[in-house]
Amino acid sequence: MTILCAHTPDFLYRLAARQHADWDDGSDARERRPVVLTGPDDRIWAASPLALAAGALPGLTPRQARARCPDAAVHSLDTNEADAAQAAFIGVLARTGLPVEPQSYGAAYCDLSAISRSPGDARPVCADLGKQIRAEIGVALTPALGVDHGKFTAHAAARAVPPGRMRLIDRADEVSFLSTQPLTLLPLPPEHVQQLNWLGLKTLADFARLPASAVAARFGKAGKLAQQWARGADERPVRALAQAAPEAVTVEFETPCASLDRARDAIMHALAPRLREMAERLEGCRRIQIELHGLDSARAHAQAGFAQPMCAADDLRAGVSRALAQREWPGELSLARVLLLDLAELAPQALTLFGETLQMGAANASAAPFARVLNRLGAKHGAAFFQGVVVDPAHPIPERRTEWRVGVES
Amino acid sequence: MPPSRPEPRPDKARTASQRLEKTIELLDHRYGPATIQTARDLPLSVVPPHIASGFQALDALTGCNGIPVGHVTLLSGRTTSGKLTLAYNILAHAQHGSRAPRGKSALTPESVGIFDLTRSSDPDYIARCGLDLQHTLFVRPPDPRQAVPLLFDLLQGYGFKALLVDGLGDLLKTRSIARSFDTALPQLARALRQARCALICLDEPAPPWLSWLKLGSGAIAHCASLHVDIKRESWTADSDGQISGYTAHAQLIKSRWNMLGRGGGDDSCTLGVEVGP
Amino acid sequence: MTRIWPDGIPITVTLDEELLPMRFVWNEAPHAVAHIVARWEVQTDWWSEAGESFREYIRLITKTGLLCDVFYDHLDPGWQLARVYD
Repeated sequence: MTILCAHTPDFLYRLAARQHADWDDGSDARERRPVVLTGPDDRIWAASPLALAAGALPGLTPRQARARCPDAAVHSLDTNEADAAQAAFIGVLARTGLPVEPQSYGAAYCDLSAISRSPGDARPVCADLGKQIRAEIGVALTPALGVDHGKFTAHAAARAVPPGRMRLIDRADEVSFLSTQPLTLLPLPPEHVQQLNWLGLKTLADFARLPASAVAARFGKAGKLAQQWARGADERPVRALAQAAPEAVTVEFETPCASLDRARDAIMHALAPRLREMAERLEGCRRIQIELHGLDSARAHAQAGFAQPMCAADDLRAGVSRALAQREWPGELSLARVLLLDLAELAPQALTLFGETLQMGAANASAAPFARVLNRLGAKHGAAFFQGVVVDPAHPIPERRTEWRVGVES
Repeated sequence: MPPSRPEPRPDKARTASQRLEKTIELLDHRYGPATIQTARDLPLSVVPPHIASGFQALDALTGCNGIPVGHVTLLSGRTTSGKLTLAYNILAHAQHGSRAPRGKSALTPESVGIFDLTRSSDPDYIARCGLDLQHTLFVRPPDPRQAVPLLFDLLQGYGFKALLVDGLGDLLKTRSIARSFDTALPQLARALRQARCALICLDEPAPPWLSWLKLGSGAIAHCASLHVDIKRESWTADSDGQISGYTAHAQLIKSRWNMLGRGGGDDSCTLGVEVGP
Repeated sequence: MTRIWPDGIPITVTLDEELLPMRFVWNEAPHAVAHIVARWEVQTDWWSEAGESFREYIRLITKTGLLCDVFYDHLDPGWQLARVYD
């Protein structure tokens, strides 16, 4: 396979900033003001470099973002404009007739195998595609390109170069290229990335070197898959748009349903196995569409979108609630049909998201100071926090009675 | 010829103590007796929030029933003096309050932190001292320069009842760190008061041939509200004659709540240390 | 109560005629042994991932006042300081 990954960093912010010369990009530093953009779910979908540096990351609520970046100006994102730009971006690649798989806004894979046998052969085609994308959606949204035999390495290559540049990785160079790349490229769940970070593992090579059995035991199927990617083994094909027919999940209500909460809970229950599978494949969906069937055959459609691919039940539940609340119900429901759309790789997690993603249960609330310490100070100070655990108090060798663990016992 | 100095006025010629006596007399006359008192005549100051040390004799000695919360406590002594035992006992009492540390309690223990700068903490022994490891955070900064900023950060609203710095020599590893720490001590004192956290620092005297290299603990000794120096006194043996522990002599060097010599009371006591398995 | 070094601290030990430690150097400081408190041998963990251990432990008191445990590692020959009481 020869796979191209086209990626425009900060796509949504750059798109919106084109209309606002006064935003922080490129203006006098003294006049710069950090900016965050909210999506229809009232979450941050994009942020300016200043806001990102202050920790106002996609996925936070505006209030959380302001807590981290008090000066941030909050604006609404024009999702129609964003969808149009994304469609234009994907359109350029699709016009080649090659399989194209959209990812997040401003990112897509394209399978070049039909026209080039190796990444080296693909250089002229890639250069041409890059120019076309730039011409189609503007210089500000010029993508960076990465080419490799596998999707993940192509993705890493595209993120290793600035916009307007391309990085082609020969098979012989794959391992050495990947070895120096940051671990944070892997779209692992944040708590897993956090644990690895506390262990002092910083690069893909660090992660790749771990025993596969230990990784599988600790991080499950998702961790095993991520480790294969970190080792340069990624056989995933590019799923062409045409092939990506979504499979519906149907929820039949035994008794007519007139309650949003009941409908949402039933939908989430039905989606649970699908979400688990997606998490194991390190995949998520960017859109959820719900078809509601009333008892009298009336129908209504509801949908919710996300800034980034999602597979976490809590995020999806919020999306389902939002979608259901926005629609007129067709009377009491007899059935709901749910489609998870725009499947794509999960986005890599930023370390500073941990504060919001590491949820402490009530039973573990007494350990909250440690969780807060780990969450808030970890990224700042590195692998500095440990808990001692007595594992074998009768062991004749004193140092083997205990273990040091990073993070908080859950 | 230099100008001659003017003769001092008679009241200026009085000694400071005479002036003070006079002032007190005037105030007593105007506002009633005992309106103002010298520090020597004051009753023992109000006992601050404190943590018991686990050694009653020492608690009585410090003047604040243990070690003060919101202040710096310095425990100094050579290795095998017993200062670490004392520090762990204090942490156990910080976690469990007045309840017996080893007893079970339905209440959630307080959180404590140990700056394990020597990287030699033994969780098994710490648990045997009565600390709840689930509520004990070990901090091992990868870079010594991180230690002081980390210490400040941990005082920013994380709810630690007590932090132990083990030890000062490893905290102040270089002259530049020691300098910046000394400069930041007033801020540290404020942060401790605001966080209502006790800071216990362990200090070990440098061997004579390295004393010229000693960095920076002078300022913290000055800043500490309580300073206890510990020395091993004698070994204790079990019924088989095997050494099972030792007694340590705790000498009060400084306490804001026990003005030494004022009442002619003791300034030292004896602590017992068990060696354990 | 004790300081412990999971990997041990290699120390240079001078033995007496009974092959017991007479003097060792730790932290660049010489420590003459005043009294041997206890001796025991540990041979364990041949089955575990941590690896087999075959050590001869000696608890001793030095003339400098240290109470500590040192061991001789029979599998990786050499003396190590295991822990110090404080």
